[in-house]
Amino acid sequence: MQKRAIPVEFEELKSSGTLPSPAGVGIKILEITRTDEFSADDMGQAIMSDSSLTGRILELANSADRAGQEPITTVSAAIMRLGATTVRNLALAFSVISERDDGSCKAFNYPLYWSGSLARAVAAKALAQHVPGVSSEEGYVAGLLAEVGVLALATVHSEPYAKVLLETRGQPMSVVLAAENATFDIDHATICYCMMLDWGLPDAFAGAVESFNLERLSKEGAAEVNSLSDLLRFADALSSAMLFTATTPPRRINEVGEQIELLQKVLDYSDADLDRLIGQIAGEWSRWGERLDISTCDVSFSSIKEATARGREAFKKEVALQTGGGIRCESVVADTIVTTAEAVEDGRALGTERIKILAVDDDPVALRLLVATLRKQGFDVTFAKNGSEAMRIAMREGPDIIVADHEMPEMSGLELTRALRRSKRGSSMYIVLLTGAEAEDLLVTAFQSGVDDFVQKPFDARFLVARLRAGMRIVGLQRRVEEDRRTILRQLAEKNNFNRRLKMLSLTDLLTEVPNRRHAMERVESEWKSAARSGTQFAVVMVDVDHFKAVNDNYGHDVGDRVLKSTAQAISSTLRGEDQVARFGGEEFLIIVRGAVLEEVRILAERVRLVVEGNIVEAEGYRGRVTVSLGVASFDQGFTGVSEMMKAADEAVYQAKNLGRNQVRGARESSPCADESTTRRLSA
Amino acid sequence: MTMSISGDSGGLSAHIHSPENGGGVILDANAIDVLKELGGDDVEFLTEIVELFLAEGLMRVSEMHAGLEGLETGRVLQAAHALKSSSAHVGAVEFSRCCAELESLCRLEDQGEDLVLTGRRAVAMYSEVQTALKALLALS
Repeated sequence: MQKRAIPVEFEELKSSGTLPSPAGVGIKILEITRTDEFSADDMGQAIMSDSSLTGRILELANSADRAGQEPITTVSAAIMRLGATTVRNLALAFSVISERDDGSCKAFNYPLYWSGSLARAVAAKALAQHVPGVSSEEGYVAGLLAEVGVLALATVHSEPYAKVLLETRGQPMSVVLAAENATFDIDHATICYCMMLDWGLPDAFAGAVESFNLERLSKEGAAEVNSLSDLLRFADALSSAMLFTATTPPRRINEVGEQIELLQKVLDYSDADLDRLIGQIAGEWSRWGERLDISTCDVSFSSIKEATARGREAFKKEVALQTGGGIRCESVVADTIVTTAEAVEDGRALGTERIKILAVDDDPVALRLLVATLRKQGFDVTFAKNGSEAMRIAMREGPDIIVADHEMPEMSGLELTRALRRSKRGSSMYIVLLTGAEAEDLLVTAFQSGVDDFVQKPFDARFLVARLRAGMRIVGLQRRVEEDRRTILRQLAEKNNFNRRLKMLSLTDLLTEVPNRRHAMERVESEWKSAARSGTQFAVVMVDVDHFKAVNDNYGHDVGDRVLKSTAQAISSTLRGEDQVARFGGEEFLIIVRGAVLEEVRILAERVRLVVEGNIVEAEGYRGRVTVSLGVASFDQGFTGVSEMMKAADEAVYQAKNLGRNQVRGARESSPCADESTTRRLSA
Repeated sequence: MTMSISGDSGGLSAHIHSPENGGGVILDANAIDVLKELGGDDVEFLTEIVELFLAEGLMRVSEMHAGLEGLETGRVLQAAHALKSSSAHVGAVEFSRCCAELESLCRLEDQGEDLVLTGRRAVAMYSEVQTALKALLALS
């Protein structure tokens, strides 16, 4: 199947350089696997260079739904068991997660996003056994990345997207998609599809995820879960139920309740079966949450059921009130389920100017003193008792400065520094190492590992603070550089958006809102080149509104305009996605048809004729129909160039006019009345 | 062991002398003052730090003792390293020096009798530090 063209709007997002993406080992894996015939060994080696990534992949390969199989302990065994492509996709998904960052979109709840994505992933993994041809790992990756398009918009267009989110708060996803398209000319479903293709995920996989994003609900009457997109829809319902908050709209609760009932029916599950399934998903969610440092909460089937029942009851009341002109009901889930995070609209405080410091020491006395010293200086201080804990906190909270002891069990200060420097987020942190009266060799190694400064233990508070103030100057500069970078990227994104709109306006007919003649000719030229190069067929259909002058003369230009607009809409409604109609001039339209020969295009043109003939145009003082005459010319007729083909289509229209209008004529067709088929032009 | 207490800035400073170290200072009054200053209005801060040290110290000294008994240099080294830093924070300067010396000995290839002797001295000094700190707590 031919892949869809990547839209220019996505290329613009990508060129911002801020799209969520794999990093470190993830980038290496992308490079290794850029072609279909990549070396699984090379990929395995790349994965093994990152111990936490290796651990996550092995854990998934050994998970409960593969019980009974021999436990595996190496990446190469995981590749043998799951297949190289699946392992690759898992590695990329985990890499994207490990690089996650709390962006600046005020209306987007980043922790809740990741919490929901993880819940969807484990739910999809658990449900995959019911879907033929979808492995549990595939379900996991799809669930994890299913809404990455939303994250992309929140990251690249943080301010305008916050506006979109607030304006569509509580609305169905179709409204959000429409608002995204209206604002950015692209929606999160398309972005998600393009990102997945960009990361080398299969087209069918990306398409299934896009289909889920375009339609979040499984249709009533579904008899089985038979595709990845169906699987995602049900997994999404389960994960949404696990994250009901006090502000989840009753409409959404009702929707989720219906989806879960449908799932129960499709799987032929009793309440006890569903209870077990949700218990299994909740357990896995919690385990993976701990491993990936993503918030989760305790949920059970009974708590979900209770909250759903209350939400649905409220939804009924809301509908009744709205029907009766009453007021809107407030959300009701209240305290029945512990929520993991504040609801989206609560937002979070941003732009705090306090410097955030993470203090790390395994010695409780030194740690307490360090924290007290730093807090006394007005720093915003968090602390960790060992290197591993520090790594998790650093990735989650993104401190500006880290003050870490060198000698600690499990993960030393140096190991912590190296791990931080490998990540995008940790690469800009200012790291001060606390050392004993150590040899110079250690300090050389420390600086080589990425340490910015060191202070000897036991530290002198005044000395430590003086060194930190020097560090703060660096942090301040980094903040300004980062702020400037974000501003430049935001302005660039806005400029690109503006330029694209400007270009689109210059190529659009303002009255009918379909492409104009210039756009049409660019497209015809491009199709001609493509056809000449690859032999792909294409055709043009010239369409002329019959007796349009009479409409204008008898009813005025306002009615004439309305006729043109309505006719353009009627023509558009009959075309396939890849075909295009443009206003060619006056009352003339041009249809560009891809992949069809003359006879097929004639059929399409006839359909257009019938639709226009049946289309009732309503305007002030006018209610009527118009007809059109159509001339078809196709590439397979052997024209020497674009102008000859266009001229032939034009002549065919005049033939149609001469033969009585409201009909289709093919170019170079012999006329039943040769005398009348000359180029004599009738009044349109 | 003799102990003199002087009050300055309304606080308490302890100068305690150790027979284990030829009558050297067990607790440095300046270090205690620094802790009190750091605590500011939090009158419990000094107590919290001292109690943290005493709990941690007891565990580390037991480790040190066990390491010396079993001639497990690694255990002794770890305990000495940890105590070296935390004891300095509570003003046990001489004990901290002793721990530093012990740590250096542990890192030598040929440790000889010095290691055991210094280790025993450190264990005995800790006992004095513990007593002095408890006295300080009682006074404050």
